[in-house]
Amino acid sequence: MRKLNSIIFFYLLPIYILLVPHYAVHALELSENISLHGFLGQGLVTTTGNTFYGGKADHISAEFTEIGINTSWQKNDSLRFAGQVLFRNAGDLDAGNHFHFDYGLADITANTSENSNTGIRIGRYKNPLGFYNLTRDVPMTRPSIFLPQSIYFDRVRNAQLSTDGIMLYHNSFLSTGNLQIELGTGTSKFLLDESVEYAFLADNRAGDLEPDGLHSVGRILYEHDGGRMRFALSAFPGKLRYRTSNADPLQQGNIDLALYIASIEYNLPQWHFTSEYLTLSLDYNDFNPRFFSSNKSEGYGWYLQAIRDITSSVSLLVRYDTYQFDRPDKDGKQFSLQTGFPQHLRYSRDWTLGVNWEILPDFQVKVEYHNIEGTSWLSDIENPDQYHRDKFWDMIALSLFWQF
Amino acid sequence: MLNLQSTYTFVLICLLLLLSITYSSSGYGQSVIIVNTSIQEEALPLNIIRAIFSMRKTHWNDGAKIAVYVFKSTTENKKINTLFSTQILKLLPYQLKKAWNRNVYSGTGDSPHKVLTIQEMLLKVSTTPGAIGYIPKIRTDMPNVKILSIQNRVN
Repeated sequence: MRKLNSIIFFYLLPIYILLVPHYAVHALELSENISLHGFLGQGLVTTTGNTFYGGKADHISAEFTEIGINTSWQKNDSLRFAGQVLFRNAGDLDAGNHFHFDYGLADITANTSENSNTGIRIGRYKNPLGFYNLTRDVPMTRPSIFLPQSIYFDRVRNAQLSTDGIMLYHNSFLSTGNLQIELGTGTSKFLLDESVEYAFLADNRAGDLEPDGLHSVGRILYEHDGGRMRFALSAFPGKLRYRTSNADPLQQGNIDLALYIASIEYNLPQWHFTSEYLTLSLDYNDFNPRFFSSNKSEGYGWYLQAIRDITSSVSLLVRYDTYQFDRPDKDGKQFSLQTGFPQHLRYSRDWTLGVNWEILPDFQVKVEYHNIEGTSWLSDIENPDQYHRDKFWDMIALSLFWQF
Repeated sequence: MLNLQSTYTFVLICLLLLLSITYSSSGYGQSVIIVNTSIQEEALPLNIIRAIFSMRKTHWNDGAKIAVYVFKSTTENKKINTLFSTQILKLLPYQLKKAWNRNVYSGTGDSPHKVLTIQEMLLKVSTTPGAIGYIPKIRTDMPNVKILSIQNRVN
């Protein structure tokens, strides 16, 4: 896989860019009613200590590839089909699953008027959480190479990602701006992978972690004055069940989880400010041995991000991003006293500086530097030794991406 | 130890203060919005026109699907697009592209159809039922398209 990455990164991508003049790169319109779009992103990651996307001290990882192709077919005035497939390599973060059926849905317009429209989506849809979850794997929609990990945890990405079910949406076009309401229910049974199991149950266990019943997901988004200001509230309550197997001493139990995000964005001609605040509560019940059952945590995190456009094609980003695993024990002191593990497993504070250069309208490069204290959002698969993680660490990443 | 919650509150207050600053852009340009003759509407409020070009409003009042045409962002077309979004829509140019990307890569909507020239724009809008587009200035030879004007807000 590493070899394939190198081939894409060092040979295919430059050749493609040289050979295809940008004005000829057109979203493929197969007909007036069918469109085809796609993207390709390749990143390089290195750190001064801990492992993230395969990058670690003295090693530059190219195990960060994102390729997606999607299509949308307007069958008639009120019925549309859309789907996207994704190839994603993310070091050991993705637990070896590279190909994903990202979404596939039927969108039925139920009612339209001059000032509103209402409809439903059926199938696999992306969870509308915060500003970025809908397109979290699409490099040109992210402000930085890595999304703020306080809100968009890459280590439990699949638990947040999408829902197989039904969603109701409503758009109101008010004189001051657009109001959008999305409410959905369904399951994410096929998405809970090893990485999620590690994050919630501290191991890749013999049994299976699965959804317990249906979960809900919803977002209210108000875009004032054509999007100059954007406000959103998102909610994602659900329940997971651990179905044990004979090989695991941990007996079955369940986890109640509830995730809420408040988001705000303010755009000026050359400045863009974004901030999001998240709470994530986890409540373990009925597990045996009791250790798990006493687990209850109130995680919270937030970031503040400023982007400044320097020229029409170059922008700079600065962001402070912080996450605490448990509100009453922000610094992990209690946790450390009780378990003997280092305190820094329970929080992360990340300063990010980044540059984005739009070389061509659909071809961009990003470089960013992270200065981090804490290890709470690191993957246990990539960093199995929790006693020997670096409390203070830096990360540098570069990413090239292209869309059509 | 820095109190993170207080910091957050402080930062939010700063942001809210910033909200009181408004951004204004200069007067109308000569770009005009054109629609297919199948469209009954003669004029629409700005918020509706923005919702159409950001691909959020997807249907005309009679239930027909809206087909949005824009100029592909080539070197020659960049100016047309910038003038249209800043002067007519009163949006910053990147805002539309961001909205389209969010649609296209999440499956929640589409991006507009792209044309390369004014001739192609006129051809597409005149021959596609439900079509809407724009041109940089009024022309005398515009058979089978009509101009859609922006209604002044009543409120």
